[in-house]
Amino acid sequence: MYEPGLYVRPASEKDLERLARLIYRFYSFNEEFDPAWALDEDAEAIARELAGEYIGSDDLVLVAEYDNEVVGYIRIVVVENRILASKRLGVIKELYVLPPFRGRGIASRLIAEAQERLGDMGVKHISAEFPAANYVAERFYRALSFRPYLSMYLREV
Amino acid sequence: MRITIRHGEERDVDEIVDMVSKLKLLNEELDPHFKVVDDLEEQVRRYVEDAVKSSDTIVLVAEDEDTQALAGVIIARIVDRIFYKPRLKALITDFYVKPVYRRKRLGTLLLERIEAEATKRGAGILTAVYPAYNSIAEHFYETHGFDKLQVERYKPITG
Repeated sequence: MYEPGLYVRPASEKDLERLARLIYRFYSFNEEFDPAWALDEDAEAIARELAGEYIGSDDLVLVAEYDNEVVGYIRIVVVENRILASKRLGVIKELYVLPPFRGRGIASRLIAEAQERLGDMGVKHISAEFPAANYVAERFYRALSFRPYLSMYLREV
Repeated sequence: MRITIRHGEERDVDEIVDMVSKLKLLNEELDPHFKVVDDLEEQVRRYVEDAVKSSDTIVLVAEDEDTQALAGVIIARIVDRIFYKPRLKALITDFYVKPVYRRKRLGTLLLERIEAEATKRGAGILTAVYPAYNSIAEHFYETHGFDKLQVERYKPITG
């Protein structure tokens, strides 16, 4: 089902530089869809800080290695709401695969691996956050049987 | 926020290169057929330096008067359609407004101004090219009265 040479594993210190680049590319792409996602002038440096913070955090951060090169990542945060029967929800905050490596099932493999780990943690649902106008992400998640779940509206203060 | 639309000059090259590079990276995101070259910035720089000097290219920038930073750019080339009337068209090849300046009608301002510049140079029509999957551009041009003109199809050649 998946291409040979593809390997998904938790992010570690050795991935810092590559992960920082992927985080920056993820946000650079999403800023195109809504000015509220516009990047800080120091976004590249901040992406590096974030990469360091992600590694070793409670977030589930997996990277995809293709032919020994890190080409994609996923970051999932588990949120709790004890009044809901499901209790815990895994939220995909970031998911990115470098364009030349698209169409090889890498993103869906990242989700599948993350889902397995979430299942072990007793998480029953997985959701994804992205700008409402990001039709690329919308098409992708719908193709993987995700359904609209939560609406978020925004306006300038 | 006060915005001035003016011709791009040599002093603007760095900022225009940043914006055009971002546009090419966006195209890459939307369709892998637009995979960017490894030395993208260098290639864009050469292209922008030529464009601001060229007599058959119109480069307009939107400048934020408060910060003196550029907020957007539009580049159009005057093309002679030797078989058709009107002979001259202005072809928009690059159009980018920084995300932080979006939803403020800067795109419309740049478009109106390039239309005026194109008219001055004798162009009878204004056209634009963008990747087929760029729905942002698609929506923008449709809402600004552009009809579809021609189609470019793609097939990789594997030898």
